[in-house]
Order: sequence, then structure tokens, then C-alpha cells
Amino acid sequence: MLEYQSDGAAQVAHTRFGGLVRPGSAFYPMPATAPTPRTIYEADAVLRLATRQAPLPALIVPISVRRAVTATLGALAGGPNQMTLDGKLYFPDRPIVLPDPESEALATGVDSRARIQSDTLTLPDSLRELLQSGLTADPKKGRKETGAAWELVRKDFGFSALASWYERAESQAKASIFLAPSPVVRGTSASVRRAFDFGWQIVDSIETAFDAVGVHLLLHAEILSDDVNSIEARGTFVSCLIALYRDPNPRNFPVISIKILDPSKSLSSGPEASIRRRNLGELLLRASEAIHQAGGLAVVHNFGTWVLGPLDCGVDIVGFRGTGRTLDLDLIYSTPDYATSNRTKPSVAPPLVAPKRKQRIQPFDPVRLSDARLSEVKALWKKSQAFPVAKHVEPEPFWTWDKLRQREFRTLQVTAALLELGEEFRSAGKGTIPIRDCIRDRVERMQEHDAMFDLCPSL
Amino acid sequence: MHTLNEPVNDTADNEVAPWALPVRYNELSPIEQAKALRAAVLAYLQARGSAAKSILVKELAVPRADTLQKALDYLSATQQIYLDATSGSRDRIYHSNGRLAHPGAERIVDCGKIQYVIRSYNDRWAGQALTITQYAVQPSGERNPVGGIRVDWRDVEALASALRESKTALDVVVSGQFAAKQPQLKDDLGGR
Repeated sequence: MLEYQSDGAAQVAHTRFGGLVRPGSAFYPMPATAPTPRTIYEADAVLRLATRQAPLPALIVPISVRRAVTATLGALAGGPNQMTLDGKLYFPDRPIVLPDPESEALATGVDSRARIQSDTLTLPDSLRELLQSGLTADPKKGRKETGAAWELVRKDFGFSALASWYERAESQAKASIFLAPSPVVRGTSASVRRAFDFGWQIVDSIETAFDAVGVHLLLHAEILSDDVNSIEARGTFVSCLIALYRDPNPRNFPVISIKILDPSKSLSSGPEASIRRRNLGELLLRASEAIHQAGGLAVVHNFGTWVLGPLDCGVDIVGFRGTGRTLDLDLIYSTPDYATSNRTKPSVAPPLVAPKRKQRIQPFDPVRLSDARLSEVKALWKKSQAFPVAKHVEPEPFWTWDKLRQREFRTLQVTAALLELGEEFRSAGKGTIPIRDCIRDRVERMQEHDAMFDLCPSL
Repeated sequence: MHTLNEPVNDTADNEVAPWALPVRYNELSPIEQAKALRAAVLAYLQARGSAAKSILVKELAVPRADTLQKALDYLSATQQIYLDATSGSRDRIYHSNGRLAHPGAERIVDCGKIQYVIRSYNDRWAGQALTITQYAVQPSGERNPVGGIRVDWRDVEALASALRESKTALDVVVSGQFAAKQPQLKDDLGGR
């Protein structure tokens, strides 16, 4: 079972510094950045970095990933830890494994929905019902609104079969923490209460033992806007977290995991982006404070190159993807459904084969945490046989390789750079320079200044 | 008398009580029915406190009392709830384990195909107790509770020392048997 131990010598900041302890066996330094490998490239990059002794305190495994990904991560995430020729274990410091329940599959048509539906074992009726729901109801297609579908499942089927399915899926992902899925949180107080209520009900109906249990909350970006309902909903969200420790029967070590659902990309572009990001920063700050008061653990997912923001807000584990982008889910809406849409179906195939577009993989700059220019990288290599790389990665002329290996190299760079950022943040917390100055210094070297100024409360 | 189509409500008019059985309970598979019933019992005991079997039958509106008895037997055998078996009592009282004590006092002992989970409870009503639940681990990673015991905090030390002594005695016996078999083994191997 897990416990949080604070570091008494660390600086006093919004963030708490210390580590998770599993008595008698392991220590995981916190706060941490955690890779979320969904593709084989990302899993391979994580495994390579672990072999090179890169700091990897936590790992997030989505429940619907292909078998190739879980097989790659097997030895790292809890499989047999074989020995090297000199008698040492391959991975003596295994990371703590958290699941990503991917509850967006229960609300929108994302890639993971298709993968869950193709599960070889029988899906319970309750899960099947939820997988047919959407963010908006469509009675013509027989599609229910996701909140209504959750209410129906609670009344008609109960959550025990659903909980049992998630229990099995998370055990198979080798997760040591159980996270219950919950209905998407929209910009209303009622949806916030429903998410907490249903999430804890699912937690209470599991029978298996895990190191810790908690609720995974999917926040729709509309809760971050500035209208009255959304402000009220954010207040309710924080008060539901405060209830975790004000309750007469408080929860033991509650894990609260948050993922943002932003299909219209309102956090990264558009006129309201800055306001929404500020609201997100404030919400994460208040939420993590309440979770720490309750003695729990705060986790957020898919923050990509924005990981510094949640770390500064006090979140303990910040997930990112090896693609490096921010807050992206793999939507499958891009393929038009001609059978049901109003658009006319193309009657004949295009007469000419379109010229094959040259696929180009951009290099990644680990200092600016953004795409770099290939011409500059090439010039640097020509001059000094080197260019900026993250720790545990060797500079190599990747542009001469085939596309597959180029993609692998980019994923390795992104993962290593964001893991290094987590390590840098932890050591800054224990150093003598004020953490605020360290963050300012790091943000000045990054490309996305605006987003960081909105998200980081220290700036 | 409540029927399955009328879940017991005591929170609000439009809210379903957390322990109410699903409306489509009869359409669920037997495994799902068992899980739903166990979850309902746990939720009821957690929310309302200890209850006799007759009260559970009435409040949960279960279709068959013997099905409920199976769920209660399973939950008490795996120490998820505990039983006040007063001698001569026909209507036994079931209690929830209460509130978990500090997470640092809990352990998962991983022994391959078997896992033992030690949980400690500290509750004003249920008292201070420690439970050991045994789980069978499937090759797929699925874990199912198969048994367990419940010990009062005051008795843990005595139990631990008795277990240690028993283990020492067992080691002596096993090594003694092995030593006794040595000459015979030598004979079997032709004096080598």
C-alpha cells in the first residue's frame, strides 16, 4: 500500500516535494512527469530510456492499448525482471504504474472506443450501453447523451459488472492503482456531483486489492469558460474534493486523476484560449491543494509540452505523450460517415492517383520543447558532429535514416526531454535558488511563453 | 413490500439509493447478479450500519433469500464483512469492516499464484481489527478473493509469534525428515 512522505528540506511552494513510499520495497520521487505510451514507438522509447537508467518514477498505461505495447512494457511494468550477464536486474527501479481508464471512450467517438469494442472477452451490457452514447443525443440514430446513458446504467444494470471489467483491464495493464471511470464533467454543477458520486460507487464495488484506489475525471473544456454555470461548476468541483477530508468517514489515500477533453482545441487556439488556460491553472491549483489536504495523490493526463504548468500548480504526476503535442486525444471523427451524413457520397473513385506526399518528420528541440528546423540541425551536425539532445539520448544523423527510425528518434527525444524536465523540477525544489526563479528561467528558454504564463501560478 | 421495479428510495424522490438492486437484475448473467448483490450488501452495510439478514432481505428487495445467503457467506468468508454469530441466533447480524486505518498499515504479499492482502480497520463502531484476505491470481492478471481471517489488533502480536514458532518447528521437522532420509538416499544411489 502507498503513502506520501514529504521532504522536510525542500522549498515551500505550491508544489509539495517528497515521494511515494511502498513500505519495505520502493520509493518513487515526486512530483514526476510520466510517459503515456499508446503506440509501439512510444513504448519502445520508454523502454530504451529505462535501459539507459533515465529517471522514470511513474508510468501511465492506457487500458485499451494494443498487445504489442503491453508486451514491450511487460518487463518494466511488472513482468519477469530478468538479469543481465553480470547478475544485475534489468530494471531495479521499476516505476509505479497508473492506468489511464480512457473514459473519453464512454462519451465520444475516439480511437480507444473502437479498441475497447474489439475486446476479445465479452463486454458487459452496461459498458456496451455507454459505448453507444455521445456528447449530444441523436434520437434518429438511437444515440443517448452520455450523462443520460450513465444514469440509465446506474438504474438498470448497476455498476458492479462495469467495475469488474475495468478491474480486469487495469490488472492486465499491470497497474498498481485502480482508477474508476466516471461520466464526463460538463459546465454544470450537477455533472460534477454525478461524476464524483458514480466514480466512488464504482470504486466501492471492486473486490480486488490494489495499492491505492481513486476516481478518474474527464473534464470537458466548457467547464473552463467564464460563464456563470461554469464558475459554479468549478466551485462544486473543489468542494467535492474538500469533502474528501471533511467527510466523517474520510477516504484513505484518495487518488484523483484528471484528463481534459478539448475537442475544439479551445485551450490552445481561439479568442478565449488564454482565459481558459488561466481558469485551468487556478482549478488545478485549488484541486491539488484540496487533494493534498486529504492526504491523496493528484494526477493529470496528456499535458504534452505543457507539463511544467501542472507541476507548478502542485500536481504530483503529470502524464504526457511521446508525440509531444498537448491535450490531444486520437479522435476518429475525421473519416466522414457518408451513410448517415447529409453530404453526397462520392459516386466514382478519383480518376488519378494523387501524388504521394513527401512525409517529413520534424526534429524536436529539447530546450525550447518545440519542433526544430532540420536545416539548423544539419548545419550544427556538419560543424561539430553534435546538436542539442535530451539527457540519455545520443546525437545522430537521423535524417539519413528511414522514416520509421526517424519517428522513433523523435519520440525518444520528446520522452527524454520531458522526463528530464521532471527531474530538473525535483532537484530545483531541493536547491537553494527560489523555485519561482527556476521556473521563470526555464520558461524563458521555452517556446510557448503565453501558455506557460497562464498556467504557472508562480509567474 | 417492494418489488424489483420499485427500488427502495430514502434519499430523495428522484434518486436511487446506492444499495438498490438494478432494475434489470433478472436479465443479468449469474456472475453479474452475484456481483451486483454483493455490491448492494456492502453499500447497505456501509451506509446504514450493521443489519440482520431479515432486514437485508427486506431492504434490498432480493428475489430469493437463499441467493442473498450465498452472497453473505462469500463476503464473510473473504472477510469483506464480518458476522456476529451469537449461539442460537437464527437471524444473524452482519457488520461492515468499518473505516480503513492508515495506508501504511496495509500490505500486499505477492506469492505468485496466491496473494495475501492485509488490511487494518479502525472504526468507532466496528472496533480495531486486522483482516487477511487470500486472492487467487489467474494467468490473465485477474484476482479473485477465496478466503480470509479477521484478528483483533490486540491479538496480532500473539498470532505473529505463534506463526513464527510454528514455522520454526516445521523447518525442524522438514530438515529432520530430510536428514533421516539421507542414508536411504545414499543406498538408493549405490553408496555414492
